[in-house]
Amino acid sequence: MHRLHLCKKYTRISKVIAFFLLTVLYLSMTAPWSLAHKVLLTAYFEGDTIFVEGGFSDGTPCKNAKVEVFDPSGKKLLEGKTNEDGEFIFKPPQKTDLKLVLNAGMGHRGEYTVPAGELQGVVVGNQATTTEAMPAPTAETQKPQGISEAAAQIDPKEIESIVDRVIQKRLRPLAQLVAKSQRKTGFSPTEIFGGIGYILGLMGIAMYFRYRKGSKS
Amino acid sequence: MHISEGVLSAPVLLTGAAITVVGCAVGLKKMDYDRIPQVALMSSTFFVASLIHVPIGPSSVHLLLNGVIGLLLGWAAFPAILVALTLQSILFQFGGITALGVNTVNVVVPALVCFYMFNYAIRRENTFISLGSAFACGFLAVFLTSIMVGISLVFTGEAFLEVSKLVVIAHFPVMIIEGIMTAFCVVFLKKVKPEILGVAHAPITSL
Repeated sequence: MHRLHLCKKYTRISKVIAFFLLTVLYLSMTAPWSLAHKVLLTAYFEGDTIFVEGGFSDGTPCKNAKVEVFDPSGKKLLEGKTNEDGEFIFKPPQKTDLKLVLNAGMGHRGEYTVPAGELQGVVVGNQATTTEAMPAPTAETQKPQGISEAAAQIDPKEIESIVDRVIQKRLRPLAQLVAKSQRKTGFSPTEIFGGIGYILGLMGIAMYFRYRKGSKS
Repeated sequence: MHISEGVLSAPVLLTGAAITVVGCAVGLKKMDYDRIPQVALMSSTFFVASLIHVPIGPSSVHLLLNGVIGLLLGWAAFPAILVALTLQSILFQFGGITALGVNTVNVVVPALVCFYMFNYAIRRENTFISLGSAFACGFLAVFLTSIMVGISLVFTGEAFLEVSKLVVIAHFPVMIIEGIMTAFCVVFLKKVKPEILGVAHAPITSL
């Protein structure tokens, strides 16, 4: 009778353990592994503008979060707030490294540094942009002479800036994709089970020391 | 709660670290040999629970489970939570390494407060009292944690009332969920393994 009772007790305990393990397994496979607790900032350029995107690591944007821009010496250059899509757009005031700090409140903060090298192609300040020059030659396409005249008038710097702008425009979706995928990284079932493993390992060490202490006395 | 690197000022970080060191020392001292696996189990529960995010509410927040952990572990919650938070910040970059002390205090102190408040009520025979206090325990632990986050952020220049209001509102769904979860846990443990809840009150010294 006693033995039967003991047997019953053990099956119950093993059922509890099995239930716990299955729950963990189930959650790790199906739960939306989205979480709010890592803020990631990314930035890309278009013309003379820097687009800053702030998001939590589950892909949701940081809405209305404060963004500050610092120069290398730590002086605050400008600040603003992100819009509904977590975007903050600004024109860089100078060609130095720019440190962007996003504060999403409640202790969530993300940083991103724009290296000075990446700002080389960016037009700093309020130099006139020349988008209007683009459609002008189309009217003269039928006259070969007109083209060469027009081509002679366009100076290489202008062509460079136009090409630059077009490339940046074409690359923008790609940059956004990269920014998004960067934000998604962070953890996988491997790391989750790894973490649980570490904790169980620590338990083993603790029990080992207690065991040795116990056997000495 | 995972306050990031570089948000808090040095005095706050140092205070948090000091409290955590003292708390861990007390926790390890009080921790009984037989409870080591239990502490490890709760530590890994906290580690995993923080990944489950609650999509309801104005912002996405995650489970904390510090009410249950406090009830089951008492002071041993200090080392358990510290280990879990350390691993989270290394593996998932949740919260800063320097902010570990403050984050631990923000989670464990409410857990301890709830432990002392509800520890006796939960073991009562009366199902209504037991269930009610279990719910209150889960609810209050998250609420107090939100307030603690507000307090730690005061010194960074954010207005206390504003931040606390934000954090409390954001965590309201979590409070309700954790209240219900704590109630279920207590009912379940009372049926299956009542000695776990009793252990918290009178630790088994030797077998």
